[in-house]
Amino acid sequence: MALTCRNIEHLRDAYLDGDLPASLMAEVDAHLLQCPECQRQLELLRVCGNVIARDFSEPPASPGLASRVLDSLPRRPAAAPGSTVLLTRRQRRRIVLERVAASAVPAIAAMIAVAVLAWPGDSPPRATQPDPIRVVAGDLQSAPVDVLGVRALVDPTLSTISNTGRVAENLQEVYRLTLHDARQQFTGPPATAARPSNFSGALMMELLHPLLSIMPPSDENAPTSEPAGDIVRF
Amino acid sequence: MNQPGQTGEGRLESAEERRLIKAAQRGCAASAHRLIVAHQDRLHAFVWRMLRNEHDSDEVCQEAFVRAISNLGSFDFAYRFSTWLFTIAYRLCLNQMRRRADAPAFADFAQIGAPGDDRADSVGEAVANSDAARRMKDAIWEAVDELSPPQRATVLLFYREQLSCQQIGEVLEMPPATVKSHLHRARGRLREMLAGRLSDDWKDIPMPADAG
Repeated sequence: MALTCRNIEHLRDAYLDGDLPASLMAEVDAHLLQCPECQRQLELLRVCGNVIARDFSEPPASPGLASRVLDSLPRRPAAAPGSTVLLTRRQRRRIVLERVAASAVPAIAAMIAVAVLAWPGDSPPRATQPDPIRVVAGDLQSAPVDVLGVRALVDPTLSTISNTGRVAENLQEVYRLTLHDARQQFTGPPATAARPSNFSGALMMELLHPLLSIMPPSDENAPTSEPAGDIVRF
Repeated sequence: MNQPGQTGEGRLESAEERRLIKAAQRGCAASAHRLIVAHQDRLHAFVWRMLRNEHDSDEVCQEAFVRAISNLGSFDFAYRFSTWLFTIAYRLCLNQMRRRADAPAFADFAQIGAPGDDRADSVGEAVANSDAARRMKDAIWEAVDELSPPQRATVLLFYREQLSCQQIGEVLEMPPATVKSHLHRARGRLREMLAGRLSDDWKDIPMPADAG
């Protein structure tokens, strides 16, 4: 059955947008060939679409729009959390260097501290060690409390365990401080913290901070409360 | 002819655009600048068609870019950057229209095409064609101006930006079926408004077959 003008009205959008199946498209075309009015209506809409799509008669964006946008964006350090802050190439390079240094220096300091603490200290003189067991023809000549040489075996082992525990504790402290420092570097307000203004001074502070904090006499200035999430468990 | 995007760096390849967005997210001002330049004329054309006021268009455009760039961290790469940009701009346009409707005197429609208006002259020159073709284009744009804001936005995004109904729905924050309905009604209104006005002009425009 041939399509009517009313049918064409309903199929108008699909026809214009090429969404009709091929068979229906042919039916619409067949109607258009015989109906100048429908042909004209569709042609009018097609011309409208062409003009809207291709007639770029609007004024362009005003000159300097991009610069004005960038100028009105928030700058460090007043930016709200989570917002994008734009920086020049030089500023970005400096921040990357600072962050790398802030992360690496405490780590190096931690390695040095571990090396110092784990270095074998002065071992007790050999003379104080009980004599190894000596059995001569069934007669015990050594002290009766160490008949089987247990102390000779257990004491060094306990000493090693104790040293290892101490090293582990110190290492944990170093990691905790390192993580805290690194975290502050990335998320904390850098302008409000009392930090040396020059870069080399900051480096020295970062280098000394973990070492000072783990000195045996407890440092009163060392931070005492830390977020639980920052502590590394061994 | 002034083609949006051509005063800047043209439309960006999607890979290049993605790279610029990622760099801008890391805080690279140069990348953000390139993103803005690449989209500024297209966005401005859309906003100007919506508001028909140059001062308001500049303000809305600038605000749209500021919001887009400062919230770039939350940009979803599943969408096109332009879609996101148009979404922000459309909302700002609606706000601006509401504000303007409250103001006693707002539009500069009358200035468009008025004698001595430099901008109207430059627009007129951009459409360098026969008088009949120019009349036809003016009539079409005047008819577009008469459409409701959602219909006008739909028509502009569909034809100019070649967005699908799904994508237009994302910009206008409405279901694709509603977008189709807006498009259908917009076409119906354009046809009604133009049928009488252009009937004589149509006959004056030389057809390609006649020219040869």
